[in-house]
Amino acid sequence: MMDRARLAARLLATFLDELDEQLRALNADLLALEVAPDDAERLRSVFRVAHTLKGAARAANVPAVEALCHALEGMLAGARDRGAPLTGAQLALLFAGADALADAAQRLRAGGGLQDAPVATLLAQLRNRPAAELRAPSPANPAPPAPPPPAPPPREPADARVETSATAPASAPPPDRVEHAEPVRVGAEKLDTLVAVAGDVAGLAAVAAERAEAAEAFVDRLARAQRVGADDSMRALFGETGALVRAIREGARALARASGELTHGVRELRLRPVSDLTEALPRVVRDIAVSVGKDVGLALEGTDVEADRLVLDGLREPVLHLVRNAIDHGIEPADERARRGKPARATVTVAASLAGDRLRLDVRDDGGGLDTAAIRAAVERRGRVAPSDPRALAAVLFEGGTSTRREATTISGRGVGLDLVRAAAERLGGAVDVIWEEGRGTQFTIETPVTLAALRAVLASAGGQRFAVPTGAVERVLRVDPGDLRPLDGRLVLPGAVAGDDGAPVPVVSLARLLGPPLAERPLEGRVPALLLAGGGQRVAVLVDEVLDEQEVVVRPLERAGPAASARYAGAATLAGAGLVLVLNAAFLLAAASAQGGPSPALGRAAAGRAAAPRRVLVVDDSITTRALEESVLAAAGYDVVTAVDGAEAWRSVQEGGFGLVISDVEMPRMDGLTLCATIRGSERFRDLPVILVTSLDRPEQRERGLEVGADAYITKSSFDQDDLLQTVEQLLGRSA
Amino acid sequence: MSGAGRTTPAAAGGSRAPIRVLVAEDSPTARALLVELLESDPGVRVVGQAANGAEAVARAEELRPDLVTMDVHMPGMDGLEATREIMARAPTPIIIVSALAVDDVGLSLEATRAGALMVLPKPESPLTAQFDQQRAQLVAMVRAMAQVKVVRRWRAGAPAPSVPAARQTLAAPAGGERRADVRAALAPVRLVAIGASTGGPAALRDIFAELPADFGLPLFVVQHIAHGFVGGLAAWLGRESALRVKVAQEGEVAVAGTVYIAPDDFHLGVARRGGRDLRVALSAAPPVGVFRPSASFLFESAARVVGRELVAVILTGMGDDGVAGLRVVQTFGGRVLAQDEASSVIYGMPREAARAGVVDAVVPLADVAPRLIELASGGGRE
Repeated sequence: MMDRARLAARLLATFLDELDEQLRALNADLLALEVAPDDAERLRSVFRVAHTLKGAARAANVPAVEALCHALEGMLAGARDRGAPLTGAQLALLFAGADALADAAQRLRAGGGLQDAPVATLLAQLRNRPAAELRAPSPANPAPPAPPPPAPPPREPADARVETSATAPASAPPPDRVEHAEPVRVGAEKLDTLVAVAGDVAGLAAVAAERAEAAEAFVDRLARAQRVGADDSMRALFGETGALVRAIREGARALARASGELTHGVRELRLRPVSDLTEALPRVVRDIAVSVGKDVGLALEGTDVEADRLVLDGLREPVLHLVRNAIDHGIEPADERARRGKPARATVTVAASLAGDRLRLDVRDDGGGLDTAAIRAAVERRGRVAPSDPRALAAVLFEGGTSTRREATTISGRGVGLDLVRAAAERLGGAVDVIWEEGRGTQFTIETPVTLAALRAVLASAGGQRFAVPTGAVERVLRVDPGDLRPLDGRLVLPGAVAGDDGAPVPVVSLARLLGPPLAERPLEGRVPALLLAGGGQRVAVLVDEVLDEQEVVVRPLERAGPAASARYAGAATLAGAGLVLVLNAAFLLAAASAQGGPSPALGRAAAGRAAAPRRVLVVDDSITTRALEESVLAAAGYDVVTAVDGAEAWRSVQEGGFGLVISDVEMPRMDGLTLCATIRGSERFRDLPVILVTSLDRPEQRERGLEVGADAYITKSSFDQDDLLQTVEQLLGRSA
Repeated sequence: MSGAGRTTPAAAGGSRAPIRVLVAEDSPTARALLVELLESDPGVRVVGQAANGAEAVARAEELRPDLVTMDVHMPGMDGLEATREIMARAPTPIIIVSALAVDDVGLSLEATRAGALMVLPKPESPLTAQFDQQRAQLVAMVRAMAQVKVVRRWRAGAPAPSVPAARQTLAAPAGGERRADVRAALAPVRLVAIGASTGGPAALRDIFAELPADFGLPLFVVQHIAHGFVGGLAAWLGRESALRVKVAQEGEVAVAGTVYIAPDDFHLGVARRGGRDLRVALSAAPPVGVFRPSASFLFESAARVVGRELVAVILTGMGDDGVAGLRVVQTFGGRVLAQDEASSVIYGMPREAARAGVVDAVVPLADVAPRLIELASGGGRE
């Protein structure tokens, strides 16, 4: 059995959407009828709207709307059957009806009732009007339906239930409402969810590509290693591994392609014609023009240009505002227009066009242009120097500040809310501009990207920079006590109990470290803020410097970003008054945290994969004592140490690759340290490999020779100090990374 | 049901495949409600939705649904035009779902002439008391109508299915003919009583359109139609014919050339209280079978009052309402005409009547009006 209440709620929601849609059509029809009251097509269209809404209101159980539509329908049926044009009074009632219905939609959305709403008062008004006015009887026979039967004889009203009534309208709708297949209705939230999912998939695809690359590099290393000595079965295994990796890479590419298409497709879904934005304007222009007593026509251009629903939503208010300003302040009074020899009927034009991936909206009027003298005076009265360049002067109009607005309002009449227009454009990643010609007209232009995505994001700072992380991926915000961190499988974790539940330990990464230079990681002091991210069955605590805020951001894709950046960032967002932030890809953070490695024990060192190669150190010394000493110091600090007994053996090891640093004695048999260093510097592959020479205090010339052949540092053997060694190693490894 | 059994043998097995329905309705709200109602029955599946007539035609051709529910007022191509197109291109059982306004009902009934099977009211909000009843009615009708085999209607053809003359004589059993002729010569006729169900409005329209304004008899009609539509039906029939057509009111005197249609929820009967005047007698007696008004009630009541001065006509429709009443008509010596199979949308009630042996003549629809004129004038001569 169906849940009636739920069905009723769903029907009401559907009805409210339908009401919006029908009201747009209704207003368009009424405006047309105001110009041409005998347009029979429009009249039929208005009738149908009232009729359809009546039925829909009944299905959705909104009796007040049903009753009003019924009354309007009755009035319209009279006019339609007589074939008489609507009277001014009837049109006014219909306009009032449209407004009352719009108001009802708002009230219902807000969960309110309609007892004292305009729908109710208007209905009472309609019912009190003399019947003759609303539904004059038709002296003529109604038009017969098709196919036309012989002319119907005059009928006598035999029964109260059999009303004098119309025949069916020969239904051909007005041209602007025909023949476009009704779009599938999708809730905006569902679409946003889809966008978010597409973003996640894109992030995962980029991560997969990175992993495929890493796997490939690994296989390359394996292949080199196998040259040294591997039997046939090993070789076969290498071959298989290679094939496997190629398959992974292919898969990653295919995933990236599909993800690209998905992202594109989802963005396309959100495209709506600019007419969505301009639909309300004819009515608005009419109403404002009437209220200020000006004769103004509206011209719309390029309304079929498509842009993201979010962009259009964001531009609705600013455009409305500019149009209002144009009529109110831009258009001159009638006498002035006459003096200038302009047509009595002024024109406000809203034109949309595409310039590459930017949407351009022009709001033009053929009025008097900006009054630069007035603006200048206003600026100077504020105690500022008015720019002499008129364009720079005009830019002042867009500046914020209440006082600016108030003064601009009274003086120039054109600054009203222009700062808000600018702010709205900037929130969308766009900009505003104005050009004008004295006595000829003004044009405001808003330019924004065509597509956007909006999501809620947590703002945090790391390494002195701000980032946004999609809120959906953030499970909680934590403050991590470094003392709680435990090493596990070579990385640091936060025990589940500390992370706030009894689940599995949560890996911990530092955001600054994860993203790498130029971000500097702060030393850990006290409790460190962290974002606990969850997704795809994984969790990770990401250490940040500070958690700042949570807000809705409009995300624009990064253009021309490389694969690494695409993996890391979902895009960029402009924050109101706070510039640009990068929006991190949650999938990337989760994947990076689950990758092998993780932060070094000191949490202050190279993270994850990057550390694997550089942290291998080659120690070269003919003295077994020195070798053992250095090896133990370095290993204790977490380095992976390989040893060689002379320069020749060391060079062979170096060529096998994988070392981040070489520490070598100078005097050795077969090949000494200086020659080793020179050989390394001379090779194309390893010339950047850091080399530390360990010299004797009593042989200063060795130091000079060492520097000549390109050693990066030296350590004095007799003053051997393990801190000195570790510090030097760390410094060099950090640099080469 | 008998009509269904004949037309669609597959239906007899009670096949488990769900009934595939296309919903054509321009209001998203009304559409959502219809879809919900239809799909509340596990045996019904909405396979397509259309927001205007043109879409409905395209979907019907493409999806070949078992049934279409059709709104009448839609932008672009309306429900009437869409019905015509579908019946020409991809004949499908169509139920018109209409508001009760007289306008809408007229247009809906016009659509039944174009081949739609029946008219049902638009469902109301789930918060209303009659919701469940409406749902049950809708689903029951969809189930029944989906079984009906509909025939192609040629788009350009005349609205009334005119049957070739040769067929008319073939359709009438010779014996019955003779009997009726004999009786016509013997007795005057005072009243015409007509019973109809599915397909009835279009059939009534075709009969009444051929009767002159000075037709000499009153006509009493029981037409099964969804609650609320009878006023619209009367208005439409009145527009389409020279006769006066009204919803019958208790006690009014029956006047020649006037059609009295049974109102919702009352049986229509005939009374004579002194004098010669026949009057309308409405009755709230229990439904006959599931019907109130019932054709059987009308036939029996008329037969008891006017006896052999009665012509009873049983028209297209599912089931067998009327048959029991026709037995009484026969007993009292009245004449019975039954619509033939070829011209019936659903050959149910007329067939049951013919089987029961209570029919004097089986005639094509196009012959009913001439026959009535003949009987009326014959009666007048006497």
